Formats: sequence, C-alpha cells, structure tokens
Amino acid sequence: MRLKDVVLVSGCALAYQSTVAHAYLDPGTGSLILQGIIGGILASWAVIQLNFARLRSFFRFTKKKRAKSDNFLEK
Amino acid sequence: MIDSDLSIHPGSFRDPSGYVYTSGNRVFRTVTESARNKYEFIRDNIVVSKLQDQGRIIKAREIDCSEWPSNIQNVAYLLEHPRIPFISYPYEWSFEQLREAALHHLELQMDLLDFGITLSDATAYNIQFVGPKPIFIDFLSLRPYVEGEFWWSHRQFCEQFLNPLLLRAVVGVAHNSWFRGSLEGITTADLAKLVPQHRRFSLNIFTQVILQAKLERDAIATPLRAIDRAKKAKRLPKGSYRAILQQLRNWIGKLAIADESKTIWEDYANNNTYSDVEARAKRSFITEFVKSVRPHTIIDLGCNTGDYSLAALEAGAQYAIGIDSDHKAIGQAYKRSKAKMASFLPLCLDAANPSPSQGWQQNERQGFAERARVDALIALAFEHHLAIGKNMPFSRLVPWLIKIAPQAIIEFVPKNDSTIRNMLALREDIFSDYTEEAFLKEIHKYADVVRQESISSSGRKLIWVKRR
Repeated sequence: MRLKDVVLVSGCALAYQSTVAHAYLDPGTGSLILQGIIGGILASWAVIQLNFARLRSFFRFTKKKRAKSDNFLEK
Repeated sequence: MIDSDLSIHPGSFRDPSGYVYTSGNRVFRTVTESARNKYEFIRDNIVVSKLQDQGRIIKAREIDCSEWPSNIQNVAYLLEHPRIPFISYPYEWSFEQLREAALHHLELQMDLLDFGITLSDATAYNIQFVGPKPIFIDFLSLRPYVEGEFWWSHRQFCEQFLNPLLLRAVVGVAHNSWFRGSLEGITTADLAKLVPQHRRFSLNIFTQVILQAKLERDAIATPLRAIDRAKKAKRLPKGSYRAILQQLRNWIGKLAIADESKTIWEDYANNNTYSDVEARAKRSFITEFVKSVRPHTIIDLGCNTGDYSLAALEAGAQYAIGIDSDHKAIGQAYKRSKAKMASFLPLCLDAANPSPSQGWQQNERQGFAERARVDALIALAFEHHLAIGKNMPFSRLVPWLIKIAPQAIIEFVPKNDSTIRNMLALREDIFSDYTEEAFLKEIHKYADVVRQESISSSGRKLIWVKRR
C-alpha cells in the first residue's frame, strides 16, 4: 500500500470517527496510517507462517495431530 | 430497593454509553438508551458470559427497575458489578503487572473479535487486578465489531501499555513516575526520542514507535491535506486487524526489563540483615496477630518481595495489599503471588509520597489514602526508612501509621542496629530523639500496646498496637 493511499485511509477514518457512536476516543492519524501500512503485511506473514507450519508437519510424516483451535471456547 | 445515596464515580464521564455509580460497598453501572442495542447484543453473546465465567471480564447483574433508586431515571438498564477488592492504577504496577494487563487486553480483543465484538478503547485503567489475576472492568467498552473498521484505540494502547513497557524494556527506565505525571500514558513521539540508535531498526520498534511517530508528525504538519484527500474510504480487513493484535501479543509477551542489575530490595528476602530466627519470630508473631484480629484486608508497608503478606494470608487474612517503592521487588512479589495464585496485590508506592488524587477535578483517580480501607496493618522494618531516611519525626509518623488501620504490627528498629548504622554512616546523626522510649510514648497517645516482643540481639522489637 502506497503512503498516498494510507493518508487517504487516515483522512477517511478521521471523517468517519465523528459519526460513530464510540467516537469519544481520538484515534490518532499516525496510528491509523500505520495500521494501513502494516496490517496487510502482518496478515500475509501470518498466512505464510501457517502454511510453512503445515508444510513442515506434512514432510515430517508424523501422525497428524488435530490442530489446536484458535477459538478459545473449544480449548 | 437500592439506597438513593448512589453517587456517580468521579472518573466516569468519557463514555456516553453509561456511567458508574457507587453506594456504600456496591458498584453500579447505568446503560443509557443510546447504548441499549449495543448492550443487549453484548449481553446475549455467548462469548461474553464465557469470559465472565473465566473471570476475564467483570460480571454484571441487571437490577429490576422496581429496585432502582429515585435518582436513576431515563436509562435503559441498571447493572451491578461485584466490587474489586482494591482499585489500583497502572502507575502503581510493576513492569510485570503492566505486561500482564497488556496481554490481558490483547488476548481479550482477539477472543472477542472472533465473535464479532471489539473494544471501544484501550485504557489501562479498565484492567484491574484481583490478587495477581487481571480482569477487564469496563463492560460498556465492549461493542459490535464493524467489518473493515480500524483498531480505533491502537494509539491509546500504545500510550498506555506498549510505550510504558518499552520505556523499561528498551530504555531501562521504570514507567511509574512518568505515567503518574501523565495519566494518559507516554506518547509515541516522546518515546521515539529516547530509543537508542541501535534499537531503532528492529522491525517492531521501527514500525510501532519510529514510523508511527513520524506519521503522526507528518499528519500534524499537514492536517487539512489529509482530510481533503479523504474521498475514498479504505478498510482494515479483519485478518489484518487480528494480525496486528497477534504481533503485539507475541512481542509484548517476550518483553523483559532491560536493566537487570539488582536493586536495593529485590534480593532482600534472601540477603538481608535478619537472621532466620528473626524471620521465624516475625512469621510467628504475624500468625498470632492475624488469628486474633481476623482481618479481611491487610496492608503490608514496605512489603519487599511479599514474605510477610503471604504469611498473613496463610494465617487467615483474606486479602493482602503490599506496597514498596522498589519496582523490581514488587515485580518479584507479583511473580510470587502469581505462582501461588495468592490473594496478594503488590504495588509500587513510596509511603512518603503515595499516589495523589488527580485527573479531572483532582478526583478522577483517587489517592492511595482514599482507597486504602483496611482492617490491619503490618509495617516491619519500615519506620526507620521514614524516621531516619526521610527525617520524619515520630510525632508525625506514629499517628499516620495508627490512622491506617485499627490494629497493627509495627517493628521498631533501634539506632544501634546495623541497618541504621549504615544509613547514618555518611551523614550527621541529627536523630537524638530516636529512641524506643520516645516511639512507645508516641504510640501510647493514640493506641494501646497489646503485645511486644524483642526479636534480635540489636533490640529490634515487634509492637502490636490497637487504636483507641
């Protein structure tokens, strides 16, 4: 995402925040721009890590264990 | 019927969804009409009741409107929360406690997000400790997640959790004094100026501190430009939102104190001027005291790593609050409390300069004295730090101690004890009035002495006092 885009994101967010019910909190422009920059990168990285872990377990020929659920209600 | 002496909590004003009220020992929260739908969505979500059962979110019981006091009108709901034994603030927590609170917030957010709920703010004051266990207390901060929304409180999270932790982990400075002077936390711009050059380019510090501070500077320099360009709305996908929370959770979980050198009191429990005989005598005295007084809440002044707070709990006290000015000792005390899951809350406080009432109308965050309602006090190897270390006359010190609780154990340390000899080694002895007789004479003005016992060859004495 280009910096130009994320500035737009933060600007939109600033405009939006005055209309929502929980807008008693000032979110900070820098924080919103930052989320625009790193959010996609971190999400992609998380997918890569997950696939890498799956690949590793496949090549280990270990007995397939049921992956721990991320849903804490099922833990 | 609830008494109409319900009064609004002075710190409850930010969120128009509802307000916190207290009446005696009871805590209530209103839900305003504008927040009715939001509240009902949260209340009926299975994840919330599960988190409440786990003790991660405070419970909330709806009060039937027939029981509402006359001064509560035009609200959608009135809730009652269980009372937290002792309200504490992030500037009173050790690094370990602040880290625990940060992780609690992030893990809560991640678990809620999976069920379509998010938190509308990220203030550290919404986390409280019951013993060593953190609990989220602001029920109305929970609200439905809107697909694609940004993490609106990310900046607040950084200021109130991440930056104070980094101040200690990266710069080596404890967060407490700064946070106490700046109730909203430590700004990213300020922290960015302090990060050493060689730490600036680690991925996490670069993105969350250096880059964020630069983006904030740029936005402040050209605010209209940012708003003018706000024509097309962009989203933060849920996966990205979650990935940011996860990344912070992983990072904060690994943060450790930068300066590992020993502080004065950290190793005190193992390396002090007491013999084992003295320590045993103190524990035995405390046990007798607690079994007789049967306090619900006991306060331990100068608790160090918590030896005697834990002894008081073992003897039957229900809840112990320990205070000490040494952050690392409190960090150790917290680790011990957590390992034992004891009802022990250690806090970083200087008895000579405790937390004041401050914030809005100087009452938003209450001072330590206003909160410290306890049944019993132990002050072992403590008085000389004020009397000698801070030049506090007995005529000021003794009534202050006796006012804290109806019954107390106070240890008197004589001037020929090695601790005081060391304290006076490089300074003039201006304490000609510092004698056991003078100390007891001052006690007798306000209290009766139930029992006293010498516990060392130097003449250290435990004095059990009962306020008249």
